[in-house]
Amino acid sequence: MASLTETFIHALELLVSGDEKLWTIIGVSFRVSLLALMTAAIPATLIGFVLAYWRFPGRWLLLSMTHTLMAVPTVVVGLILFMLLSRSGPLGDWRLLFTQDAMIIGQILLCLPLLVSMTHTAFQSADKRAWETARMLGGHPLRCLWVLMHEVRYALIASLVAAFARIIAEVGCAMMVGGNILNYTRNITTAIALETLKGEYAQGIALGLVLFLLAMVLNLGMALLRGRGQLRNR
Amino acid sequence: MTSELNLELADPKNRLKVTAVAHIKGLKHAWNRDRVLFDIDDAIWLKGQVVWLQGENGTGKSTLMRLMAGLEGVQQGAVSFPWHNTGWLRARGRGQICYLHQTPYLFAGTVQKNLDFVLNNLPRKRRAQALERLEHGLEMAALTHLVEQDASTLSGGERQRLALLRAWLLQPRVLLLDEPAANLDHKSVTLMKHIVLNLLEKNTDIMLSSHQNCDLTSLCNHAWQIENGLLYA
Repeated sequence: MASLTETFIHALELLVSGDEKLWTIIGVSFRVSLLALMTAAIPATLIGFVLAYWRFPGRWLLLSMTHTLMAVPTVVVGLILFMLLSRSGPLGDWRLLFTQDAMIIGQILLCLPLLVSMTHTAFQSADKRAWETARMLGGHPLRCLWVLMHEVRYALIASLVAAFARIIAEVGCAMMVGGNILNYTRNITTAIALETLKGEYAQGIALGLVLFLLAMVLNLGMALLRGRGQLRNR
Repeated sequence: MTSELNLELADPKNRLKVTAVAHIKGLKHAWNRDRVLFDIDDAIWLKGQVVWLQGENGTGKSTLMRLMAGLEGVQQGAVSFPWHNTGWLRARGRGQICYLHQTPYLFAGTVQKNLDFVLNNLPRKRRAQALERLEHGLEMAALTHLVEQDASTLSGGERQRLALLRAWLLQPRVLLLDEPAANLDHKSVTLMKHIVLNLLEKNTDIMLSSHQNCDLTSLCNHAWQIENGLLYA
């Protein structure tokens, strides 16, 4: 086994040299996670808003369920989705198992509860007068919602960042419904798991570095947003 | 024309429809089982009445106004506007009943952007009319020189005047002003009085709550007093 330093240098070489296999894996990760995030963002924001501003029977139950689903392990979501999408499952005819679409569905299910919970908190903490004033001044409901979203924009962006971080770093669901197929469904986390088992540490570390850099950029971005959010005075 | 109106008024149902701005019936509001805020049996706000809503702190003046504006859910009873039969979701119903907070909320951006919000909500014809009136409104509110200033940097009086100016541009059928003169200097109150007078001339029905006698309350010709959970109209 090569030393840690040698492996690390090899990993950097792989990244810098533009190794096709490596960058395809990174591409799959970003494509799947970004599509899942974009699909989940709008319904999650609307649900978060409704939970924050409407009182209806079952609201408390829905909120509790959302919070519970946030804590469900990714492999459990993967397992349920696997059973639904497998040939003998109720959605077997869709033939989605071991495709990127299945991975996207899995990641939507993973990030939706987190997004709903965080957007709900954001809307609840918003100045209610923003929504009320927009309404009183004759605004279309969607325009009023836009005003409110602008009021809590930093918290909403933070929720998107947190959800993206959760899904791009998950391994259980992607492994189960994606199948870890090279150049198709192999993403960063499933590739790290596989390469480590094969003893190919350099690629694992290179991919790990990408995730680390991503986490750093996201955290720095969040810190900047928090700073700007706190500086606001209205 | 007058005889037609008299005929209409002879019918009790029509009389309410023609002359009432709002009708409150059996309205009861409570924070919890033990504390009933108010229990209003029957009250009619008639056209032409400029109502001064009076009452001690915590008697429910703001809550009553918010209930009338549809910002709070009615627990028991009803608040109705006989002339108003469209929901706020529909374009025609929106912006006809306007409630102004005691501490107004201004949208992020400049004074102009705040006014643009109202202008963009209006149908095309009314928008063109409002645009023509805008300059006059800015002068009335003494905000012409601040039009490009960030709204978050305005003083308390300027904020209140801008909030009222937005409502003036909107020209709602009913305007509910919650403590509009609280903590304002005499100049600001006088400026606001001119805007409110202008709205009255344009047939907007106005109700305002205020603790103290001021220039604005001098415009009122009718008083509603909330005391011990009851409304004396």
